Amino acid sequence: MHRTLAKLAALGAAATLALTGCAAGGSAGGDTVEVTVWHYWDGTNADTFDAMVDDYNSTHDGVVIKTSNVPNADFLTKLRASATSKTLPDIAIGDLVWVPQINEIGSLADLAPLLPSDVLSDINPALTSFGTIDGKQVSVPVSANNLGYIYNKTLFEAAGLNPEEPPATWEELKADGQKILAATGKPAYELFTQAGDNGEGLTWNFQVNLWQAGGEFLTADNSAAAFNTDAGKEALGYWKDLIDSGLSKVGAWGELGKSEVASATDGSWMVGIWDPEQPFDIGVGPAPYPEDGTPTTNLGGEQAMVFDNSPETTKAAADFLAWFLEPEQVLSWSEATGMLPVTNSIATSDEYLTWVDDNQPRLRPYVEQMADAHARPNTPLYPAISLAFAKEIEKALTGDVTVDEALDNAEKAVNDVIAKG
Amino acid sequence: MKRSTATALGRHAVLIVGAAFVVMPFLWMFTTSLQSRAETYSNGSILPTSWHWENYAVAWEAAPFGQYYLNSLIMAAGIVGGHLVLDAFAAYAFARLRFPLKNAIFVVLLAALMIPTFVTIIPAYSLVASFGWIDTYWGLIVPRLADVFGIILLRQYFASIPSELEDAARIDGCSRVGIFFRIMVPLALPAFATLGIFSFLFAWNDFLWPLLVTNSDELRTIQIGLSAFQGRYGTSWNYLMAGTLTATVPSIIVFMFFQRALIRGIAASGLKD
Repeated sequence: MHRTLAKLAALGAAATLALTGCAAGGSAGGDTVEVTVWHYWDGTNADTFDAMVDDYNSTHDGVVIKTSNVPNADFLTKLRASATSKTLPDIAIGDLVWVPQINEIGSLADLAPLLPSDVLSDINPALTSFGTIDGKQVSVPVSANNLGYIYNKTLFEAAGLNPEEPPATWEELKADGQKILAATGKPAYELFTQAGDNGEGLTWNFQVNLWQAGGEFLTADNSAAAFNTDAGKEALGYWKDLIDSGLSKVGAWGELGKSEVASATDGSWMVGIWDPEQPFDIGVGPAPYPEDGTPTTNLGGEQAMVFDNSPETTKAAADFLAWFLEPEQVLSWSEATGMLPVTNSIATSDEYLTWVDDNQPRLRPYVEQMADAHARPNTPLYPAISLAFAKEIEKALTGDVTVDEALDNAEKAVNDVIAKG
Repeated sequence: MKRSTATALGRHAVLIVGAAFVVMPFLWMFTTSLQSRAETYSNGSILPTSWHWENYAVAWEAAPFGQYYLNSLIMAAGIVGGHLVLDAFAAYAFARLRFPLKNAIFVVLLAALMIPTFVTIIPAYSLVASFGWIDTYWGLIVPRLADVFGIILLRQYFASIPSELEDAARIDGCSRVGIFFRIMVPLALPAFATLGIFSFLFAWNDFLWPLLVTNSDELRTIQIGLSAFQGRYGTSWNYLMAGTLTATVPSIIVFMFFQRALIRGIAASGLKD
């Protein structure tokens, strides 16, 4: 018994020693400015970012960039807690859709006057305009991705289709799909049919087809739903047709990786994730659009925001971002991570495109789509809007309501979310 | 004879089903930890189909897990030590000492059990930040050195120990402190063991608080390290399960250690029926 007590006492003593042995992070000495960066990248993305930061630190005097990985599921929680006691990082790098929410958590610096104008003007305009809130450039993109058409070449071949020619339009997708269904008995195209607990999987996939049909999701000032139009009906009608004809199924997402379905609209990041051990013979094409519509897709990726903690840190943070957005860094980031370049000069440069063709040709359709890609509405209410929308649209896909009713209900639900604020 | 055999068989059948229920998730974790990444998305089999033992090495090297382990151990040791010592002092006071407003304070303490942790997290964070304890072991341990559950658990146990034992010690000239350490603590070892297990599991598995108060790899704990396998662009289930299984080992060891104390304590005191 006494031995147990002695052990406990020893544990306590060890803990005390350990406690006194540590010191607070403290600021770097002299005139060195310390800039802290929080990001949610893991694996290759995190390793690449850390290596680039090390490179920056060793080539720039008077500043030390410190990175910290914050798991993506709790990123906003940690930011909100930190905002209560002035322990926010200097730079937060998070998902594009979070920018309007993070803008409300803390005071973000206007990056327009802090970044060289040639850097800003080189960035994909859909991404810079997304980061513009109330006339301030509150965020800049540092990494991008979008949605394209990924298909199973083996199943295409089995249906007698040319595995190098993915469907370019909705009409071709349906025609190819009939052949695939007849030959393999498998659905031809996977739709994101379940709202789940955040709705965004369904919503951001649907927006691609809505925009292609000429529609808009919200009004330009994000004050009301704008999807309950002929374009909205065309897009939702397209989804409903696919389900009714058996080309798509209502159910959980993830069948493409199991080769249970021949194709899906999925993100450019999947190319890199699937690359090391490909679950099927992967083909990629641009997102199919209606014959009478326009090609476009939905943008994702990470944006960087600078919290205005002090004039020194804000300037140092902006300088770092300016460096990160220089062609050399955009190129090395895109090549190392397989994410898409955020600047037009790199996205269209021979050097990058040659690298794509030589190393990751499946990215080529995604890179080319960047030019006419759209971004989601930049309102802090977007997560709630997305869920409300998806829940109503889901009911049309399961056949509980008609296409028109679902759009009416979704419009009302979205406008209710906006009205409540 | 036959009847008792049938009873035994029936009892074991129930126990085996129960054990299978408990073991099944671990088996599935183990199976998944040995699969390739592609398999984890396409293969739902609970029996191993491939043997990628290297997943364990890859998972271990994905982050400074050695440091994370050490940090989790230091944090858990601090919290368990704090609970066992501070909770016991408070519990003894409520069980045996007489002081003004004793019952009122105990009721307030009980009421505190009903406050969800999440409500207190932001104020606690603000306090820790104002002390400059963000990204230190202090921030990880000090706010959680005592807990109401442990005080109540130990108080109930202390109250069940016959006060005649204390009276006898007092007659023999033992001081109040002596009574606590020589009479109460040895007799309450099963309760301490129970509290030790609960406290360790709480500390070892805690995620949100360590995430909030640490930023650097030097202070991060094992659970935060594991969450990095659930990335924005997909979850590496094989590495996550490999890492999680490795992280479960200390919990099992601590459970076995304290469980022995629990049984020994009962045997030594002979008081628990």
